[in-house]
Amino acid sequence: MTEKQLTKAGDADAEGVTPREQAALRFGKRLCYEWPDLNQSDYEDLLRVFSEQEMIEVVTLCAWQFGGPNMLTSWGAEGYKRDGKVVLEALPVRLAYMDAAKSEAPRAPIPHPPMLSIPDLLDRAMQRRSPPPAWLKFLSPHPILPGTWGALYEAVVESGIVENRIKQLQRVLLAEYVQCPAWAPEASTSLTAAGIGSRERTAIRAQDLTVFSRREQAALRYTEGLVGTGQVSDAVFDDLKAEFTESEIVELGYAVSVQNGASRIFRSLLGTKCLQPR
Amino acid sequence: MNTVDIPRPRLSLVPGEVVETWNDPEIEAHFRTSYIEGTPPPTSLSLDAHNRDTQRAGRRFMWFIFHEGLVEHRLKELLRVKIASWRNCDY
Repeated sequence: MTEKQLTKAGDADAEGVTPREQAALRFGKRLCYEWPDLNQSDYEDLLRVFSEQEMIEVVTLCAWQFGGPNMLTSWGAEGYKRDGKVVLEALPVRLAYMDAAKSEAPRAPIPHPPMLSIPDLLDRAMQRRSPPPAWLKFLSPHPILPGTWGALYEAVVESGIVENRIKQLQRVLLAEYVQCPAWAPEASTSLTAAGIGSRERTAIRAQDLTVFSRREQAALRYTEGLVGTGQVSDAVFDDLKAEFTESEIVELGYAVSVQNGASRIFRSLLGTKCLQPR
Repeated sequence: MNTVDIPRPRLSLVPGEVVETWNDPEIEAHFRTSYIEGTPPPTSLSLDAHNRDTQRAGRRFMWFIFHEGLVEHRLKELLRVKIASWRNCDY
């Protein structure tokens, strides 16, 4: 596509864009600008040109893309570019496999990962109510996504190196922001096991973080930035770096990103035919 | 005078010397693909390499949804670029 076509893609009168591409871009744009208004008709619009499995893939990709790039921006990823491009020679360190990449040797394919069993994932989700089992059921007709999305959620929200209470507080903040209590229901055992109850929920709802430790406050301010405007100020990031290692910050960023768009889409699916039992 | 707001890096890049000691074919394949295809940028991989388990889970999810799914790749590239732009991010 030309740059002009790319710029106009997503507009109603875009040229050089197929009906499937237009439908997907309409959904993506609604998610970015009008997510509280997403409803059954948006999914019907997609299902006119996509199969159910394809629709799930488009929606999940939009959900990831809603939050993932903001996470990288929050880490200052663009600061390593020059005029929008990575110049390897200008970087402060040598990156992994740079030399191998220049060789003519065939590169190894990306190996297929071991897939988590969908019944196991659903069983865990049912017991913890994290993630919402209905979200995993929505993904379940797709051959890959329940396993890969579910594995990412398990790795960064329910497991990992940062204490679980902080990741669960992030989940509550997200649910409050997108006004979707079902994303982090009070009865979730992941929340109760982390000592998160009405006191914490009320404080988050009132944006009064003084009841939390400095470390929790730093993580929640970072989460607020990513979930709210998508931007994280220098001051908030400096506080985050004072409390967390770089390895922990990466985990916190992914923990928000895997839920940021997904929770908004899940909210819009509640009450639609897409979540009805099959 | 016009000023240009140049973002500054906030996390360091994990050096190649560290990542290569993992001898991890999956991570190597992600890096080598990144140099050839340009996306994701190798700097993004070198940022999330701070947390190996997170990187593995995150990159698996992204690789399989972008490259091994059911929907045509061009459509997904369009979504990737346009949503990043609507969210005021680089792509």
